[in-house]
Amino acid sequence: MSISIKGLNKHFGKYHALRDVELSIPDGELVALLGPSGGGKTTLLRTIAGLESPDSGQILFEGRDAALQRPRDRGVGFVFQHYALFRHMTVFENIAFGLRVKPRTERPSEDEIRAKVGELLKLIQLDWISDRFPDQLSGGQRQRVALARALAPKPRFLLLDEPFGALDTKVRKELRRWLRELHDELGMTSLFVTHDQDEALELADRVVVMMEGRVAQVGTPDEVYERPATPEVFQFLGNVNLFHGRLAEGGFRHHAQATSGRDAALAFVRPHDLEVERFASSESSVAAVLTHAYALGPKVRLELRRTDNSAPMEAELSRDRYRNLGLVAGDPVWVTPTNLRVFSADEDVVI
Amino acid sequence: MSRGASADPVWLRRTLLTVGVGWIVLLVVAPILAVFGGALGRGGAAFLDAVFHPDTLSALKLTLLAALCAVPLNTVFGLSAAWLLSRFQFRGRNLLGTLVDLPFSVSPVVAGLLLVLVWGQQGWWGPWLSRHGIHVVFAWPAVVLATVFVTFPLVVRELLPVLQEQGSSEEEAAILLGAGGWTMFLRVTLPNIKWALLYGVVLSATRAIGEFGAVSVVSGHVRGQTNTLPLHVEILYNEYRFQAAFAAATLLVMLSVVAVAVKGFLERRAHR
Repeated sequence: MSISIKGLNKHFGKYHALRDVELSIPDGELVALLGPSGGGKTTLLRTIAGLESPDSGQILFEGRDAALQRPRDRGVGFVFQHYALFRHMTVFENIAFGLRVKPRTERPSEDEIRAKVGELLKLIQLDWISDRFPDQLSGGQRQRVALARALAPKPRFLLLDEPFGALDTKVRKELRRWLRELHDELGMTSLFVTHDQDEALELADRVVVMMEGRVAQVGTPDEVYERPATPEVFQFLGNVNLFHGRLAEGGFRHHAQATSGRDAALAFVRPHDLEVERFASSESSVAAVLTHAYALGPKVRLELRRTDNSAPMEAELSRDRYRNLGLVAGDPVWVTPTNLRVFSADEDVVI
Repeated sequence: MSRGASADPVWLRRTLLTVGVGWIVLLVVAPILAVFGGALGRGGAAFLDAVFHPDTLSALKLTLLAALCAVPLNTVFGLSAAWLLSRFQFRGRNLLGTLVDLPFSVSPVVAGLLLVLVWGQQGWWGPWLSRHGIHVVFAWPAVVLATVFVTFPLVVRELLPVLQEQGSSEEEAAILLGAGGWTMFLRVTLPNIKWALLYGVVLSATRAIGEFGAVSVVSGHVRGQTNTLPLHVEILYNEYRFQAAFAAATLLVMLSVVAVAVKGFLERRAHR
């Protein structure tokens, strides 16, 4: 099932939550809605589910207008951020709910319900807790029960709102991998909301970056990370160093290099695209002082301060490279950007 | 037994216990015993005569009728209003929330007078009604209306905090899993609020049975017709028929005891 969204707008009072959202989600993909909080991700997800109605625009499910269908007929499986399990029902009854409320003619028999729920319990590897109540489960278990409950009526889409937000890092990692496998196995179209870029980049086939109610960029995780469409997207996706400068013959020149040139421009450099050396290696090198260094797994993160304008910078080196340089805090260094992404007022160029 | 740092000395515990129990005996137990004592003071036969007197039975019947009308009406109204106030944002929501509390904050006598003003012979639609042979004020319908009015906020006030605390996501989940509105209410909303609802129902039943002020203004005190049990007790008392007054009062006390027992049971269930 494909979803296509056209010119969607939604206000909450004076607040413009969705602004002319255009999006199409191909059949069978696992898509991440990524963005800072307040960016409209959850509103978009709830609107697709039918929990909010748009002020204008259309949502098409395989070409059919969803506005003509009631939320319950859309075939949407929804996993809520805080799970929203029915607290007075056992795990078994929670999962069976979607089967029990089907119209009489489509409702499976008690035996079929039992078999189906048993199958789902096995799928989430929790068949031993079917008699427990939600408040007797851990966060990760609740999450899996919520997922099984959403899957029971065989939805055509699975929508997940911050599915791993409330879990600790280890459980989150496991559940991520498990969700990916499940998605591939069941072949549904799935859409999940997250503010965690690692989660989106690791898990999704396609990432939709949302900011201030707009779709800022759509692309594969690689495209979005390597070629962010706007300075805002670049800044949102990980740590960056900012260079002010101008566009001149031969490309971008930052302020430390040249003051002549045409248009003012901005350049972004990821910490791992900064070379740190004892001596200047090119005309684009800038002088800086090491203020602090700390190890992050196999990498070493360096905090630097530019000598000319005291702006802070961040660089990332391998442990070996750091050891060879033999740096200590307070040492003067030269920093050279090796990969810049440049944005000017009217066009963007990569050097 | 070892004594923890927080344990109080024995003499303090004993003193507190004595003061607490003494206070309850003085304020609650002694008067209840006095009521039963007064009722049975002239023997069981006189007691039964007073209880089974047609005027007493008629007052009991009207009291129960008022409660039986007020409780279901306010249950339905309370559910709807609490639902509206907790699940929807609309203009005038705060105003509605305040109005719901009004019957509580206004004196029952004022409530009674308001009813006379609207439904009475000189009231807004009183003349039209009496031309059609319908008598509200100084007849049983006014007693029922007054009772409904004063018990009106009880169910809403019990439900509202529970509904607000639970939020609507379980209900949204039910809808997206394919439940219709009614199924959602019966299988998801109601089980979550049932103890609060029952508690509100018990509270409004006790208040309905015991209501005096508002009912007193609108009833007209027609003995055997528009008297409720509390009004009947007062009339007997004012006529110096103490034994009969106490006998009628025992009926009220017993209704309260039942209500308190039910309430205690519900509280224990709800906190399990």
